[in-house]
Amino acid sequence: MPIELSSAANYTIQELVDAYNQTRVDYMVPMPMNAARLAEYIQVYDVDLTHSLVAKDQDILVGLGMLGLRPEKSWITRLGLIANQRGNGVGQALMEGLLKNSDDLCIPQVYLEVIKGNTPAHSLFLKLGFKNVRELLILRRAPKEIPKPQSKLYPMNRGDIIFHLNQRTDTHAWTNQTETLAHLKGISGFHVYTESGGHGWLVYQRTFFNLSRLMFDIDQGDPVEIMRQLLIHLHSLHPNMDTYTENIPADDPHLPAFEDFGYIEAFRRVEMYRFPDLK
Amino acid sequence: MANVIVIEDVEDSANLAKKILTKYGHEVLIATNGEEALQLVNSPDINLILLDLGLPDVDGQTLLGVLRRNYGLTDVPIIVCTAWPPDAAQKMAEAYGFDDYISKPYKVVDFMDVVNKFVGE
Repeated sequence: MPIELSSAANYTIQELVDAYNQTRVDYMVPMPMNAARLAEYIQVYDVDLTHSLVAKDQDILVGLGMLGLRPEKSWITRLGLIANQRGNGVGQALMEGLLKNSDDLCIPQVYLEVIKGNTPAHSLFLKLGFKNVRELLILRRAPKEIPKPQSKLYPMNRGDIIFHLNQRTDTHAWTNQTETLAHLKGISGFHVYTESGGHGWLVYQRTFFNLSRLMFDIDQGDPVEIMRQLLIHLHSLHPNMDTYTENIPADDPHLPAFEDFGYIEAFRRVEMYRFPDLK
Repeated sequence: MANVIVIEDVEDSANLAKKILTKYGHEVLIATNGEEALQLVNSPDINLILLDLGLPDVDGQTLLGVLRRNYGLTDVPIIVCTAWPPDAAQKMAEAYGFDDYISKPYKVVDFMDVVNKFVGE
């Protein structure tokens, strides 16, 4: 019996998370989830289960791929196959099904990210018309000492946070777009002003375990120095928190400030876009 | 003999680690996620923790910090189990204060070489 593709909406979150975890067991960065985390992922990233797909071999789920939908753009994520199904066309069938679902909705731009070094997946995406756009860094920082701030901090309220996120003019990975942040609970932010007239702001999420999703912009002053002040304030406010932030462009000019305060690259992704011919 | 907690969500990997450690005379408790791990670490006389970096509810680096800071496990060696390349694992160990790491997939000799550094043969 051939592999059968069907809508992910036909399955429970637990069935999907069990299948997803099985597909990642042998990954260098496995990123397993539990049902609560997958449910949050679906909500935060606007994953549409109706247009997401599961591959089934008789009664066994052997792969899946999810489709996030936002106005004028879609995002392919959580694509995975269990090890014994790789290399026999199931991944391509899943991808083609997801692209068809996106194209049927007349969406002009499809995003995805692939972990750098995952050559089979990267090659498949290139074959299906995706282009490399840039490399994105996943950074981590263990708690450690931080210098004293030399700038003033002004907290942001939620309205201020969303306003400033919307003002950003550069292109952001799906995970860092304003729509993502707007779905989150527990986001905080602050402005920093230096005596020399520098200004920047930082938004982040604080959970029980860690700080994450650092979003920032510097509109006055030296980008690295203002970024240093933002990070000093962040880690002075939360001195014992582990920090994880993802999908910062590898050419981001603020990166030296992160390096100064102990951020290390955990791994990197390649961001890819596809612009379908929808005529 | 040592009391070892294995924090690992993949059943096959957890069972393999337990089989190896038991063969060498160690007592093993398994936690399959961070929440279970936080319950087990209250057990007395823990001599060693093996920690998978990819857990379904919290990542290993963050859990390590919680174990060290919030649970006071500053003297219990924590060995990370990971499929990361050695240079990346080493960098992460230096940043997060792991005592050592074991590469996945496990090779029995290499696995026990690392374990024996902390609990003796």
